[in-house]
Amino acid sequence: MTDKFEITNNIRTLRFFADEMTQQQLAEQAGVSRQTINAIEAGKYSPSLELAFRIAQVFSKPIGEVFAYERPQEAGGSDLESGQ
Amino acid sequence: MSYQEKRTIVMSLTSLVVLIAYAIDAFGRGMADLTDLKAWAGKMLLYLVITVVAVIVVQIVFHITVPVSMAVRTAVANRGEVDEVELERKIKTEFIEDEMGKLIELKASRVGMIIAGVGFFSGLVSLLLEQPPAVMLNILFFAFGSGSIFEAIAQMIFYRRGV
Repeated sequence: MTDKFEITNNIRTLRFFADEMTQQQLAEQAGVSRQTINAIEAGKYSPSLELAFRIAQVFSKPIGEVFAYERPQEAGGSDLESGQ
Repeated sequence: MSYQEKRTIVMSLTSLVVLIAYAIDAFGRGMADLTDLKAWAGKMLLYLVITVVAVIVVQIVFHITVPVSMAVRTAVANRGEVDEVELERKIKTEFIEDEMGKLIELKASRVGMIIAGVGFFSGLVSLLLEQPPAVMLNILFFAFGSGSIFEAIAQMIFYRRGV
């Protein structure tokens, strides 16, 4: 139980597959600033549940495909399938 | 650098300039009379009003110049062609205050409150050490002034490092 978990995301990958969507475009659609998207992508900020759902909605994916809650050593290897 | 970071820098610089101006005005010409509390109160009130006015003016000017500079940069990049709808959307996103901004503001204000609290505590200690009340007033004034500057520094750190 004391193991440290962290929230990882596939936003960069999803942006690439969404016709190389820019952070600015994602920010506009999710209703936040570009800096917030940048911070989330870099793992510097964990979004609220509502924002996480909004981002997932932009990509038309379930939230589990965008965000994952895992141990740091697994974090680097997460891909689109990790949430399934 | 984002709009929020630029605004934080500008605001903290404004506070710093006013605080330095107060220090020069109050202590510049030799030691001021520490027994004349009325004069100190008047001077502090004057600088508080100057701070409020300066912050409002700087904020208005900044709020106008940022979109203008964005429009100019876009026009230069696109060789004179500017999609106004696109530009307006860009400006709107730049100015948006979202959940991360609010969280950073909250965390940074805690830093500012701690500095102000330490100043209040130091002011009371100075009275206990039989310093004139004007010393306590000045400690309080500088604590609140530097509190707002440290708040801005904390905001910058949170924007860079994340929360």
